[in-house]
Amino acid sequence: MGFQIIVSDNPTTGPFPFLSMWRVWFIQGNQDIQLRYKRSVLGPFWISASLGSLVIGLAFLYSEIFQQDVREYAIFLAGGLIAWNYITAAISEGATAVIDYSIEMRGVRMPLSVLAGRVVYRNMVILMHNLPVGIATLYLCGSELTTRSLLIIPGILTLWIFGVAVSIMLAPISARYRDLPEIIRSVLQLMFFLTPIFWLPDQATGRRAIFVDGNPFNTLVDLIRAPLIGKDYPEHFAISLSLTLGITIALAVLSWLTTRDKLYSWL
Amino acid sequence: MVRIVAQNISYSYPVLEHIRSLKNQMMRTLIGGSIRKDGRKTMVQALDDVSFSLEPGDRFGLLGRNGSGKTTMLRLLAGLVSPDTGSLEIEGRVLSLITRGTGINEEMTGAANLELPLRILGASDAEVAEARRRIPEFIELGPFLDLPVRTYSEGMKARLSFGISTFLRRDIILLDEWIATGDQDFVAKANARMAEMVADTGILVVATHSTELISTVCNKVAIMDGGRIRYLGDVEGALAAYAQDAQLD
Repeated sequence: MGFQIIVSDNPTTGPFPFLSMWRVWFIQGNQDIQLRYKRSVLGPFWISASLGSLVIGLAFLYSEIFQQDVREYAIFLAGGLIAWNYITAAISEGATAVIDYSIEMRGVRMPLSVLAGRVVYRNMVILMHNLPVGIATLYLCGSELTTRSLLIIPGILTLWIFGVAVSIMLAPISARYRDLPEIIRSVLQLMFFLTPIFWLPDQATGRRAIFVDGNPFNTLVDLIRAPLIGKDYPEHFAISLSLTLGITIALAVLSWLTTRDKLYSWL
Repeated sequence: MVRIVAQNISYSYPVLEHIRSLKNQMMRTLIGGSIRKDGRKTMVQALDDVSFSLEPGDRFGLLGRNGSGKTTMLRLLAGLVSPDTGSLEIEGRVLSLITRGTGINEEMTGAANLELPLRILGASDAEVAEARRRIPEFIELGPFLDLPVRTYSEGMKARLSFGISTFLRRDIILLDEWIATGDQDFVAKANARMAEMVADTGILVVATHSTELISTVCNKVAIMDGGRIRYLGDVEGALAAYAQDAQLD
């Protein structure tokens, strides 16, 4: 009894399609970026330009409101926004991956990890356009990169793994329950304000410190922000990161195992 | 060894939209497959106890009306879904041409659209390199190859998609209806290419309504109805049985 396919040397039926079919998500991700900025003067550098203007505008106003040094605040804000832009896109676009690409899934084998790979790779390209803005902000505000800044690299790799896992976790369930992506977008919007991106971690005191210490989004943001702005990772960072990643990956595996036989009928 | 062995396979899927208010009998005529109520969910029994085996050289035609289970059978063979019960063994590399044009992005040029569809079908680096040389000369789009696909006529789009779909050679090919191509002058060339592709293939499985296609291409036929195989055998017998059905209807 059962279902058996005996093939050799076929990238679409291998055990790790994310690796064997990497060209598929790579080309798709590149096409997504190309098409989004086709026929525009700056091309993908619109991403950098819009982040740059956001940082300048917000730093100018909010450093005054929060009574912070404008230079220090601008760096903190740039680091936080760069990370947040990636995290929120990876989650919300990752959740709709099956819905968005269901037409392709109807006729050919298109594994979840390849769909997730496309979304994550595309947002990694955007992250790479945003990162120079963060570095420019750093130097304009009289700071500089240090050897600690190299920790951005493992940070980015970790965010890549997180992105793929969160998409595999959410995309099948979102295809079944079509209101889930809306709920996810609302939660992300709320978390944007509840996570220290505009405001500083030490401004949340007492019981409100939970929004800093117990907030997985803050941990994910600090993967990029902390090394970029030259600060130490917050206390218990390793524990918090392991929990966030561990739970996400475990739920992704669970989601994949429980939905893979039914997914096709949800397209 | 290239082969396909299907033993007593059944496959059903839930209908998520609320169609339960309609009478079963009515759904039967609309969808064709048999529908059973499974608890709160409405299930479509797309395949019911289907068995057959195919060997190299077999040109297997799946004949039947809409909703009889032909396309579902192809989806199982493509590995898109797995059977609920029974066993399905597929040996050999499968080329699934159930839907065509997958991976073609109309905003990109014809030339930029060659690689992705082939990679989705599992093409290797060497195959992609060869495709870049051979597909353009076969589809004869000339300077249009460097223009976005959205500027193409339907006939030109069909040529591009046909050229890509019929480039790869695999042990097993799955087709939902014969690949028809748009413009007149290309048809002869396309038919020659299809014949060549079929000749190079171990097992061909084609789902169709066309008895003409069955008699020109196939050597083995299954007539499907309501998810079951009602006839399994040679072409002559199949055509006779199918003609009889048509009279009864």
